[in-house]
Amino acid sequence: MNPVRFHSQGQVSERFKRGGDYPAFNLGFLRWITAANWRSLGMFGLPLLIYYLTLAPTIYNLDSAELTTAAYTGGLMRATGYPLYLSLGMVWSRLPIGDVGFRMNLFSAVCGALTILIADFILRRWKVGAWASFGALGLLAFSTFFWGLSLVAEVYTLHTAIMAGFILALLRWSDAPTPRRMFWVGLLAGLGLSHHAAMALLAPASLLFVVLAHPRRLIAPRVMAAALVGMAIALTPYLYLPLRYLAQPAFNYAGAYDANLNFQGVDLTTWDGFTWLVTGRAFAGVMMAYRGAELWRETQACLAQLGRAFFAVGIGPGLVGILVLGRKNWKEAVLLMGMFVFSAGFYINYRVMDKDTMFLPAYLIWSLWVGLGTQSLFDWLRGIEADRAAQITRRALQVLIAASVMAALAWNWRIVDLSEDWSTRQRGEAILSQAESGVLVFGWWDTVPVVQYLQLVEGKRPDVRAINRFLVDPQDLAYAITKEVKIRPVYIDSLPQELSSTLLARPAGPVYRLEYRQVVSTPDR
Amino acid sequence: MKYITRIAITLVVFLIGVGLIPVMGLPTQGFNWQRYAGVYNPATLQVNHTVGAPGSFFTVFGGNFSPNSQVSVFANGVSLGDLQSNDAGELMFLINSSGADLGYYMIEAIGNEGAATLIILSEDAPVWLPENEAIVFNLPVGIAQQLLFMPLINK
Repeated sequence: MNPVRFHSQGQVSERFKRGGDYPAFNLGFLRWITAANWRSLGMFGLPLLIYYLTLAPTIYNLDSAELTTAAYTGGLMRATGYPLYLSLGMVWSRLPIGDVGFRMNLFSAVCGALTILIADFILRRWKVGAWASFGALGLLAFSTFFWGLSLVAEVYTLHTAIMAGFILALLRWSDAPTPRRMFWVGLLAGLGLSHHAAMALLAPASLLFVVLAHPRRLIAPRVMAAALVGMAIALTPYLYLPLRYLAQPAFNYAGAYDANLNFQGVDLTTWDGFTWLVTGRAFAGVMMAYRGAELWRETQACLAQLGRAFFAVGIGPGLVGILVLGRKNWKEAVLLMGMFVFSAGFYINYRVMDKDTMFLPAYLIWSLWVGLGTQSLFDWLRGIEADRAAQITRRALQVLIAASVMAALAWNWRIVDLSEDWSTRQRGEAILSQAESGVLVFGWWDTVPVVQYLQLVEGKRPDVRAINRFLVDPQDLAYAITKEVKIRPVYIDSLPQELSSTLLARPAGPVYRLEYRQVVSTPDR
Repeated sequence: MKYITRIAITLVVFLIGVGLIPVMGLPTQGFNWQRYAGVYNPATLQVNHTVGAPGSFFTVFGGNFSPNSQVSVFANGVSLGDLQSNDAGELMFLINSSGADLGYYMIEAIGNEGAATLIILSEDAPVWLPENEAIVFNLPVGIAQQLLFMPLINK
C-alpha cells in the first residue's frame, strides 16, 4: 500500500514535527513540496510563462534546425558534438505537444527558466532577498539574448542551467566539504563538459576555488573519489557519439562531402575522430583571433552589449556586487571573476558572426553580482536611523526595481517575440514545393537544415537531396555543381562567384535554379 | 544628512547606467535567423568612380558586413578612420582626394570581415563632386602607389 496520503499542509507539518511515519523517500519528497514557496514558483514560473507566450511556434532556422533534426533522429552534429543535448533532446522531442520544432524550442525555455531558478538559489545562499533577486534575475531573464535564446532550440540555456548548478554545487561544497557535495561538483562539471566545450572555460577558476576553499579536504581519498565518480557518470553521454556513428544516422554533420558528393563521416569510434569533434579543432582558426586595437574594439562592443543586456540599470549594482563579494568572501569573488573573465574573454577574442549570442555565461555571473549589489544597497539603507524615511526609500527602491524589470520586459518583448514566426517552415516548404523530383539542393545553414528537418522529421519529399555547403570544400562544390547540373535539377541559395561565368542562376522561390549559360565541358578531375 | 547621502548614493548607483545609454544605446535587435543568414556571402566594396582627378570625392558602398558592427577603413594600409554598418550590414562613406598624390589607392574596409576596392587619381580624369552625403575620409599625402608596367617580351 502506498504510504503517501493527501493531507492539508498543516497535517503534513504536524507529522514532520512528530518525526513522521513515512519512508525516507516520501519524507524527502513531501519536505521538498512543502518547502517549495512562492519565490521559487515565481522565479521558475514567470520566465517560463513569458517564454511560452513568445516561443517560436515551430522549427526555427540555422543551428536550431540542425539541433532539432539531429536530436529527433539520433543524428550527429558538427563540433563540438553536444552529446548531452542530443541525448536529452532525443527523449524530450517525443513529448506529445506541438510539432518537433516547437518541442525543442520549449526545451530551451524550460532550461532558461531553470537557470533563473538555480541562480536564485545561489542568491539565497548569499542572503539576497526576494526583491534584489527579482531585479537581478528579472533583468537577466528578459534581456534580449537570454530571452531570445530561450525561445528557439539552442544549446545555450542548457549550458547556463548546468553552469548555475555547478556554481551552486561549488559554493555548497565550500560550506561543508563532504564527499557527497563533491560528488555533485564532479557530476555537474561532467554534465557541463558533455554538453558544451565552453564548460572548460570555467575550469581554471573552479579548480582554484576548490583548492583555496578546503585544500586539505580536497586531497582526502573519499572526496577525490566522489568527484571522479560524479564526473565519470556525467561523461557517459559522450558514448552517444560513437554509438550513433555506428548506427549510421541519416543526419550527420560530423564529416564532409567529397567532389562526387559522397559523405565521408569522421570515424567517431577512433580516438582521433572523437577528439577532432569534441575539441572543436575545426574552429581553432577563429579562436584567439584578434590583436591590439581590434581586440580593444571587440572588448568595448562586449561591454556595451553587457550594459544593454542589463538595460543600463544593472551596471551600477553589478559593480557594487563585485566589490561586496570581494569584501565578504574573496574566494567566492575569485571564483566568479575568474569564470567571468575566462568566459567573456574567450568569446571576445572569437571571430565568428554570431558571437553576440555566446555571452550568456558572462551575463549569468553579472546577474549574481547585480543581486548582491542590490541587496547590499537595501541593507545599507536599513542602517539609517530614521526608520520611517528608510522604509519609504526602500519602498521606492522596490518600485524602481519592479519598474526596471517591467521596462526591460516591455521594451524587449517586441524585439524578441517569435510567437508568430513561421518563416523557417515557410522557407523550407517553399523550397520543397517547387522542387522537381530528385533535385539536388545546396545551401548554407539558413537553407539546408530546415529542408532536412522537413524530410527526416516530418517525412516530406525523401526524393530531394539537400547538402549543406558547410560540409563541402568550395572547389569540390564547384566541380560537383558543374557535373550535377547536367544530370538533374540543381538548386542553390547563392551562386559561387567562380561559377557565375558558366552558370545562370534563375530565381526559384527562396533559392535559385542553376542552368548552363552555354554548353561547356566538365572540368577534368 | 547621513540619510540623504545614502539615498543619493543609492540612486546614483542605480541610475549611473542610465547615463551611459547615449553611449551604448538600448537593445534594438534580438536573436533572429535573418540577421545571420547572409553571413556566408562575402563582404563587398564598390566605388562610384574608379578614376578621378585629385580633388574628387569617391563614394564607396559596402555590403554583407556584420550588421551594426564597427568597420575600419584603410587606404594603402593607412588607417583613415572607423564607421558603423547599418542594420542590413551596409555602409557608405566618401573619400576626399583633395591634396592627395596621383596614383593608386587600395581602399579596404575591415570589420569582422573585409573587402577592398581600387581608386586611381589621374590628372586626365574629371574631378568628381560629392554625389552622396556620408562620413568623409581624407586621403593622406604621400601614400599613393605607383604601378610600374614592365614591357612584355615575347620570345
